[in-house]
Amino acid sequence: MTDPIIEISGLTHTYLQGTPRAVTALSDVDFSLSLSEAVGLVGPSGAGKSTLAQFCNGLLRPAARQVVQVAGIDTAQSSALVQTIHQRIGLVFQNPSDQLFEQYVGDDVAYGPRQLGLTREQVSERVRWALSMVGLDFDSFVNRFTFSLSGGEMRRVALAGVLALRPDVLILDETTAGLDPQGRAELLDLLSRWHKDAGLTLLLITTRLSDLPDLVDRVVVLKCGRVALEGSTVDVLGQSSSLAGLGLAAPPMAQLSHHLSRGGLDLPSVPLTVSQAEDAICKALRP
Amino acid sequence: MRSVDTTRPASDRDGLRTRSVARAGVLSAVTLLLGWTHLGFIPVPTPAGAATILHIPAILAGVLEGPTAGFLVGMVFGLFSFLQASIPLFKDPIVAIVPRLVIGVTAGYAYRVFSKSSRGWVLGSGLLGACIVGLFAWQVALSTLWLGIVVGVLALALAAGTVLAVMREERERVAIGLAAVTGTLTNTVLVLTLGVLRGYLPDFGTAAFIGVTHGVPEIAVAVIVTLAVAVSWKRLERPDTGARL
Amino acid sequence: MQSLETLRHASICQYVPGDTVIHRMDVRVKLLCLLSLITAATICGSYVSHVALLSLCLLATASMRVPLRRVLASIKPALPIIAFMSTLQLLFHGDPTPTDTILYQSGIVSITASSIRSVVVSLSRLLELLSLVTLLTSAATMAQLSHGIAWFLRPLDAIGLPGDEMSLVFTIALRFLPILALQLETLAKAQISRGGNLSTRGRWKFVGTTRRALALVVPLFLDAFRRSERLAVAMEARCCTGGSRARRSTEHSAWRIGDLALTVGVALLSLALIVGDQIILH
Repeated sequence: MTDPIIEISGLTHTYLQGTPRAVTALSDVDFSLSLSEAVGLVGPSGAGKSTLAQFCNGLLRPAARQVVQVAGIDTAQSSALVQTIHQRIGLVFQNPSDQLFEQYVGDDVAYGPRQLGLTREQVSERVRWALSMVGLDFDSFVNRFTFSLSGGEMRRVALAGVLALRPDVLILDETTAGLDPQGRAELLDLLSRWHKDAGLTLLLITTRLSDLPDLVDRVVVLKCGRVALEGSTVDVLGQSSSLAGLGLAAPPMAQLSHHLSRGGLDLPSVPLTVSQAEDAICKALRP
Repeated sequence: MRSVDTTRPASDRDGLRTRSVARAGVLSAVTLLLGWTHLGFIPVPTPAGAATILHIPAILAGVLEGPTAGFLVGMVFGLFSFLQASIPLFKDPIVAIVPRLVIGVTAGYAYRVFSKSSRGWVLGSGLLGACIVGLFAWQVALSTLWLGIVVGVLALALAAGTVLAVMREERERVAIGLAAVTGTLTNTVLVLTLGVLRGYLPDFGTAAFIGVTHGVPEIAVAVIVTLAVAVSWKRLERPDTGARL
Repeated sequence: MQSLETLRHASICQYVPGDTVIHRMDVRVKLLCLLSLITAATICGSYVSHVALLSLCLLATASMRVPLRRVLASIKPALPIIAFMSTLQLLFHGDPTPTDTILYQSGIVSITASSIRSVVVSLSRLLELLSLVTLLTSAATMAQLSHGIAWFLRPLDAIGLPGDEMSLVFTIALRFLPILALQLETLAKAQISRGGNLSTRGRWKFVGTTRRALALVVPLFLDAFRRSERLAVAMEARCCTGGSRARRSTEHSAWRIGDLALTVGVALLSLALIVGDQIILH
């Protein structure tokens, strides 16, 4: 197990501290992420997932005496070095139209590389590469108006914009929300390929647990700013009743196996995907 | 979703009226937001330390939707300025509100005039404006020579800029830019004049000094921002359009 | 970037719940009284009228139990400018009128009776208007205020001014402020996450700051335009066109005798102050 690139312990964060409308978003949270891992961060709305994500990429910095180590930098201390964090840890927000701001697609994707101070050729090269990674053809998209794209295309451009920085870690904040099934499948497929082929470290934040099987190794569940459950994907997603108690819906196949065992048919292992369920049910019916 | 032609200014027809109200409302919200954060004040080396861009939503409303919308947004700007002020000059409702009502109106009319008139007209008025500024520069030079020279240079720049832009057939951009200049000038001139008339500023000399040293960067910033926004929104394209890659 | 979050959560509303006399007044009465007093404070220019006005305002503020601190706190950051401008007013009041008493003169600097008066009046006016505005915003919520203002603006339709449109614009502006604030926050965060917003050093710092500001401001405007398009469609779909009279909120109760008396009383007081002021000055 390599050294964690993100290490957080005992993190507490309160918005608007000191005012009558203070809200504690995180309480005593421990979290770590190692390179080449893929982790899912789930929880009901308001659980503090986005807040935690923003600590992971240095957007939010902890008050003194709390430990948030990102890429070897203690974010509580040096604000100057925090900029280097942004190059290594990319954060993609939920709504693509919140993140796109240049008139042309090419310029928007080029924003990150330009901020890094790369030469014109390097910038162009990065844009080309980033667009191809998200499946958009450079020549047909580079001069398109950003806001006349379809929702799915905008999402890809937003992703490309972050990829163009060549980060080691990619944090995706509810990026599958609002996508139709095909769009979702395509996006998850892309993420899976980046993780498995290119070794990209992933932190996937979602409320839809069915996104996670086959993609992440580990799942952390947050509720009301605290870590409620943690473990491998199979372990956590299989606990249908605990998840239901936390206000989350386990993946459909896990729920199915839960109902089946209540009805008397015990499956050998908790399936998370349709094909796993098929295998498990077959094995259980023909021992 | 471009079923409605968004580039024409509003008329009295109901459908477009709704859009004007919606735009005026949202632009007013932008004004409030800019005023609420530091974003409304761009740090520039001027006496006040910053050039304000709070009047730009009013200018944009005037340009895109017409003088009435500009009036409405200007009113919100004026009210906000009055309510938020903590110096006597701007805590006076006459100084804070009245000039701002007019910003969007003058900008709107300026835009209308300049975008619809012929080349010769625009050229003529641009040069006329430059002459007026030149006269003003001469007046100022009588009391403060270097200041007069600054203003004189400005007059030349204005003339040159107008001529160039008209020659390059960028009628729309000229119109928008001049509308921004008109709106900002209205703001600066009226605020300072009323400031003197109400006794907050000693005399017109000081007012003119502030007007030039503060107003000029402010006009420059206003033109830059207004053009950037309007050109983007109206998709005005030049032949060499595209990403800067 | 803690300041970004506070932006979204902080509200423009400074309402302080309470049960004072002013709280209990109908919002239209509050607005009318405020308007009369603001007019008086703006027009009056003599010592006497401002002594009266200032005492009135201080009394009202004290009765509201709104801490005077809040009023004064808003002035604190501006004190240097106020001091500077007041000095200018005092020393360089332009050419003295023939009836003016010159108290001190040396070159272009001159302190006259009228320059002293103008400084004192300006400062007094500042305090009065500050306390009046604070009173209003502490004693009424944004919703009440927009209701009241809408009621006032309605009769303007009769004289051809766009009263309906005005109140719509106010309502939309207040509604969209938090939405746009959130948008701005997300935009800024997205830019920072991609390496933007590096602070620049040196004397040309302002160029960097301007570029950063522009990178936020221009997209903000464009986003505002896009939202207004959607809003316009939504409004039209609900038959909420600009000139329509169908949409009327008539939730105001009838005027009470007490309210009427108070409004008229304050109006008369303001008028008296103005008239008296003009007499004293001339």
